[in-house]
Amino acid sequence: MNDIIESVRLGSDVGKGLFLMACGMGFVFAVQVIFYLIIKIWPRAKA
Amino acid sequence: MQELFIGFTSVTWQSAAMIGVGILLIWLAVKKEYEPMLLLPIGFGTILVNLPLSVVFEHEGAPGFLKLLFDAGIATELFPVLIFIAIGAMCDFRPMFKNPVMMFFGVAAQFGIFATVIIALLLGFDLKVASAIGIIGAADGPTSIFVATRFAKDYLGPISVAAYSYMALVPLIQPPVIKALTTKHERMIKMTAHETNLPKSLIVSFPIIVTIVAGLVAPMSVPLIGSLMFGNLVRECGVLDRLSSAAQNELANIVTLLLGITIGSSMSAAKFLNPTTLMILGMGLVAFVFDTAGGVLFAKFLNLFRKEKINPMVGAAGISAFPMSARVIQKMATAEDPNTFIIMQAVGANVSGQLGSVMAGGIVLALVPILLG
Repeated sequence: MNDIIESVRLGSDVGKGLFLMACGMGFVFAVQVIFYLIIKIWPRAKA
Repeated sequence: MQELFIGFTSVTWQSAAMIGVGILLIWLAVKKEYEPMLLLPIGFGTILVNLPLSVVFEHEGAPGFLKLLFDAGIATELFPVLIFIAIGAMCDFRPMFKNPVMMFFGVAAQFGIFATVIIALLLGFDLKVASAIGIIGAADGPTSIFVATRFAKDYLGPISVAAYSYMALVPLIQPPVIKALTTKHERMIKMTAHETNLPKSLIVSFPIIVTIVAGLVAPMSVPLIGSLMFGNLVRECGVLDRLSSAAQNELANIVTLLLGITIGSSMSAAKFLNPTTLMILGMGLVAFVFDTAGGVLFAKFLNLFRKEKINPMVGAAGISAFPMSARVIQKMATAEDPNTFIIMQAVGANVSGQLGSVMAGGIVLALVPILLG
């Protein structure tokens, strides 16, 4: 991971922007998946 | 004698133009009702700070009341955090719990943030400023202010004005983008409401879980997400009705009042009247357009695999402009077919956009310094 970040650091600004997009969207998606699963598996009283 | 007329002799065309901008913002707030709670104080603050000698901000080395407010509330990031406590107390996540799939639109509709960062980089802005501009796409004023305070203090005024103005202009920005990307048939898709009895334990635990998860994944987002979730916990716990009411009313009103006029104080002619401001305003619009497109296209993508189709307009509500965006989507749905009711799904996407935008802001705050080394 450190190597990837180092190569992005040395790369172009647009490369940094694309990396930010990939990581940013990826992280937000991962966190929402966690929340989604928590809501889905939360025990509910039977109707 | 000259000192008697120093007010008149100190007027420049730039300060006069900015006073005009202030009056325009007040006009938009009063006449058009575009985010009046923010645009009116911002407009008046703009007038105050551009009056001759700018005594309200700083004069002969002595800070004026607006500078004191700026240093205490914006430079310390206190106002955005307090506003988030109020927003949290106003947020009802139940529509999202009933339709958890809506959470993913809160991700897709953050696309505009990152697309705009790349556009700003291509236009020659450095990564920090580009990120602060991109966050306009969070469609979330406090997050924009928070990130701009860290990364682009000089552009705080235009970034805040762009964020709040475009949030107010969602009814004008989103419909043409949605129409361009969807067919009439898609806009008429009906969705069934999932009426489930939600356990109170989930509603109360959710803000605590979100805070802990956000703190682990993106610690930089904790001031924002933590205050948002604190406000929501106060609302949902069921034993703090007085505090919940205070957060939704007194706290929200007082901080909004001070936040607006203080943001206005950053709109001096020297900082605002330059081509960069116009570029920031333009890119803010681009961010909202890409946000909307991201949400709609993601909904269409999901429909490729789903038996129970999603009305793709709901995806556009994944931006955080709550509850304006959800209302716009329902209005469009009703215009296509009066029997199409997607307001609950749109509100679910809208509140998940609130979460998504704060998370995106926190991740940008964390990643940009790492990328800059």
